[in-house]
Amino acid sequence: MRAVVTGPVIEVSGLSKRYGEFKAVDDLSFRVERGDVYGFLGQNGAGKSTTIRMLLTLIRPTAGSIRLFGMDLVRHRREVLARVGAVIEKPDLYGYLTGRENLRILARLSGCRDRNAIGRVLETVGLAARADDRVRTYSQGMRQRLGIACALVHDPELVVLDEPTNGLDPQGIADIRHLILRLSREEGKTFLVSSHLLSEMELIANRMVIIDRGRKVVEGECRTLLDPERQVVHLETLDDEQARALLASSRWAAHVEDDAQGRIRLALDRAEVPQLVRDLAAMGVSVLALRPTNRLEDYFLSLTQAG
Amino acid sequence: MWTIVRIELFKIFRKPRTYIAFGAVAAIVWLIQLGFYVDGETYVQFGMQALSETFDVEGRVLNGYLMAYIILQTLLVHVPLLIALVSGDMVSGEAGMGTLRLLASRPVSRTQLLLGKFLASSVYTVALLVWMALWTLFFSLWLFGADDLVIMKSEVVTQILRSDVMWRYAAAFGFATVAMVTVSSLAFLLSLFAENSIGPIIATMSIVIVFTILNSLGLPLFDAVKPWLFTTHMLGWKGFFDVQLGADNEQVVGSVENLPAVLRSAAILGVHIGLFLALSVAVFRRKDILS
Repeated sequence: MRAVVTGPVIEVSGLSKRYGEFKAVDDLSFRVERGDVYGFLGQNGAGKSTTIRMLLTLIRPTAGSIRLFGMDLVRHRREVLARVGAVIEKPDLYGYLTGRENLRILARLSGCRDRNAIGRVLETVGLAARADDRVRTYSQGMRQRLGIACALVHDPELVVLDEPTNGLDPQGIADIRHLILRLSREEGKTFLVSSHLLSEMELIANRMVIIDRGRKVVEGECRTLLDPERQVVHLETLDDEQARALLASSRWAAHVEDDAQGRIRLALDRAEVPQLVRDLAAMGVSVLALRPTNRLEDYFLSLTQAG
Repeated sequence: MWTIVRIELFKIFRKPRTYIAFGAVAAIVWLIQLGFYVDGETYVQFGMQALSETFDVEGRVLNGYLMAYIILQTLLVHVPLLIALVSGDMVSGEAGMGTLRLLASRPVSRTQLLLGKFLASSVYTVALLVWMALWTLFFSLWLFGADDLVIMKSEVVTQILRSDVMWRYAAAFGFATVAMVTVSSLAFLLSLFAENSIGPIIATMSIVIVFTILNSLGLPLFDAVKPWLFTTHMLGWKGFFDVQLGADNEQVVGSVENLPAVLRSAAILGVHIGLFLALSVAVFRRKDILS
């Protein structure tokens, strides 16, 4: 019998992991509510996999606490992990065994007693036809789907997927996305999905956190964070110095920002963009390109470019 | 725990490398048997030359029991490599494949996971020795027949009645199992520190070779440590073939000349197994699993 969870499914507080002087994760806190598809975003090396490994007790935190289903992870490790399924980084499985044998091993280790679970989960991920082939003959996409099947075989309430679309072709990415959304909607599973692609998270996550160099940058509802009405406009001109001077003496002065590369950008509402275009033309600025983006996307892009 | 052992055994016996050891044992034993089947009589006559001048030797000296003794002497020195081939891969192989994190993130304790793996590698070791016993003893008996066992040592010839031999082989294989589990537990411990099995296999063999060399060196510097090296005790199985002599200088059937020494050797090997295993558990429980 499983306890009914009323609080958050994951509650991470002040989590840190140091390797000598290097802080892989630094005072990280976030919450995942029941039924969330929670995006865990950050560029490569931001600390996503380290955090996920701590969530699965693979590595010990230097400081902080993790509560899953309202229980302390260290004290209730087995009880908690029985309710969690995970694919960590890439779905490494036993290549010399068949897909079905891999699933059988992991089902038994997870305490799964349901004899039909393996067949059911193979159908779910669309691998039933190749279930009795050795995994070493599988494509990357099939391995990824088998990895997800391994994570789902014991019917967990929380599924943790670390970069689940890495190395997949567009069709494979779409398949994984649809699978996550379907399991979230139809079975009410909670997902924590890590990625370095904001565009991917936009399509599936309802809440997200962005981390950079182990620290939380922002956390919240995707629809708020990705509000299309708030824009950042990148401006490329023939003479940036002249354009900067003209903008500084115009009504747009308060909107001008410099990005990490020293290019001109303006923060403004979506409705103000046409007026900006007219004013630039009136000021005689030779515009080469004007690229409006969402503020979060812009921020995330700057992180990636800086990295 | 039983579930983990079954899973680990399933994995061991589905790996092609597992059968290398079984194949190698069968091939080596068969080659020695073939050699002795063709040229064995000449070899034995040469060995018995001095004895034949003083005694009338009747019966079949080159029999299955003697073959088993010869093969065991030759083979047990090399079996540690075959043991390390699997035990050295138990954790490092999983780390290399990336499946260790898969196992360690399941709702089983790390101690149970490790003990399950160790027990499975021990079952493999026992299976290999049973396989060896089948080939060296039973196949030799079928090929060469049974008679008294005559063992020639440097200055002593021991004749053990055929009715008194079989239990000695059972005990010798039992002892050899303890010795090989010791090697297995060392390879198992070393496999915790690597991400491919080559390192632990080579490290295990290096330790066995270095300790064996230390044993054979007659230098006083090493005399103090020799009694505590596990390699000193690995050939203790031979003690079961040293028969006690009675008051009339007759062999005492069912006896072992120095049973306390044999048991002490087995106990020291047992302590090594416990030590290596305890270290393995302590290391694995604290290990950050990154691969």
